[in-house]
Amino acid sequence: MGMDADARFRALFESHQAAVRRYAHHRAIQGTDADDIVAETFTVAWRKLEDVPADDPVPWLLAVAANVRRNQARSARRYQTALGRLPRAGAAPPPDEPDGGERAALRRALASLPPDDREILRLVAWDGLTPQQAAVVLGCPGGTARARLHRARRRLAARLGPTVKAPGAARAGPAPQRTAPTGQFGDTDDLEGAAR
Amino acid sequence: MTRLTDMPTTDDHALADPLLARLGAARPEPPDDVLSPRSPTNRALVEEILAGHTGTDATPSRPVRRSTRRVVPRAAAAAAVAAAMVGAVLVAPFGSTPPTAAGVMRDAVAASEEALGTGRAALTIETRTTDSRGGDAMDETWRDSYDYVFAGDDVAVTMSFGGSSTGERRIVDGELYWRVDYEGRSTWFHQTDVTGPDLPATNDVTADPRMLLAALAPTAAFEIAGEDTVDGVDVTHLRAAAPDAVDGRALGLAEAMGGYLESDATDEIGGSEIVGLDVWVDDDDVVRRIDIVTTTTPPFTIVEVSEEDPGATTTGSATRVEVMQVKTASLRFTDIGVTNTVVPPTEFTDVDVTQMADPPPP
Repeated sequence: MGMDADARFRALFESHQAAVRRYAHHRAIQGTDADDIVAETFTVAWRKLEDVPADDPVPWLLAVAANVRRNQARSARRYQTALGRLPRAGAAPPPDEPDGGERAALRRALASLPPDDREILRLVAWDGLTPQQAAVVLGCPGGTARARLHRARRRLAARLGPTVKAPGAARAGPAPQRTAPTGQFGDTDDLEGAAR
Repeated sequence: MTRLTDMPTTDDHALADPLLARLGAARPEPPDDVLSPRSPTNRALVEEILAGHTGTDATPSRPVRRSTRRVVPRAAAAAAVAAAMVGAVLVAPFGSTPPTAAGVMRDAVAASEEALGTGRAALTIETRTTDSRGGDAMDETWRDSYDYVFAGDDVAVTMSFGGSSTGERRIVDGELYWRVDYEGRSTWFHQTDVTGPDLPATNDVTADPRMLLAALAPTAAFEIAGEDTVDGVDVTHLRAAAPDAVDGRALGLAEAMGGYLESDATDEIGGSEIVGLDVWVDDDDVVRRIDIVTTTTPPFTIVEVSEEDPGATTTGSATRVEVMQVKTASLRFTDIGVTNTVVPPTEFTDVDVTQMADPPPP
């Protein structure tokens, strides 16, 4: 079984390391913090290899990555509380596109949403999960994930306004920038800030 | 009110929904090199995770849980070995040739990782501060020392800061204990979670110095400087041709270097760089000594105000003095192969790290 386990783990890593790496990157976790998430996630996967669903491992892996991320963010908070130090280098958010176009506008609109909305949208649109798979990561029923996605999508559309075209339409300039109302960030699920 | 029947029923939301498709196209993408599972670092990471599994038991062995801060540097170390092997092949593709620096470093990283599961190390850091007037008022030397004991992944370190205060830290089975001296009394504290960035919050030294060699190897462009002896042992002396190419912040020893490689103070003094880097490796390829010299760059400026004219900073008569700090760290590994045991203290107090903004009371 040992060699089989080795081979299965190697195949798991080969096929899905990028998904975990992207998961971290999509949440503005880079550098050594991203390395830690990948390392810790696959360490857990190795230790619990028999628990990893063979047919659909990505939601399981991302659920582990989410837990690692939460621990990382909690540690970052404690660290900052304890010393009042600046966040460590290497965890800066991904830069906006240099052209400041629709991609940047979409990211800004996404960033202005409540944390729950952001997370379900990122899981589906960026991490490529179905709502049912996202439910595994979020630890909620599939129907709940679908409802959250629907609400989040509607709020995202409202943030973007009418300037965002349907796919294939010519670019018509950046969407209006919106900022989140005071107090919208910073709840306990908004881990980005703490992880930076 | 939204009715559930309004919601898309397919699971292919990102493909079927124009807005989600557009959002998907705006996703940030990591660099290709970190995505590839076959990159040296990722391959090394796989081997590291599997390292606790012998493949001979009926039941897969479960690797001892390590701090991810250990896993990643170890993976980087293995990647450094791989990179050094590539370099060695390029340098000496045919026949028997004298050992190259790349080859020596390659062997040293691998052999040291293995050998330094036991033994001890002593680190001294000397800080000399001088000023541009010839070093009178500001000329001072500060000396910190750290004595390590290694027992596998367990580490104990006794610290002395300037000869005036002391402390101790032990990591045993992934549990962190530390002792601080406070107004003549000492108390041991305990924190269970030694992963993540909490560790720096409670210790000046966060590094396991065994990681240092692997961190230095890939970028410092070592050259063989000659033969030497360290503590009576014959060694090969290697000197970095490009010490300033090493990112000091990436070194595990950054915290121990007084924070000048990575701290808030860096912004104030203009940063620092590594100006000297030497490594000594014995005939068994085990590192015996590492010396690092850093300097503030550029020299930072202070305003010196005389007691007779305390308002000099506003009247313009104050003296501006350029100050430079040179730190010399010397790390020596000893008692290699001698088995040690690191045990927890008999009495300790559990501490919530969020209460560590000030020194804990004894």
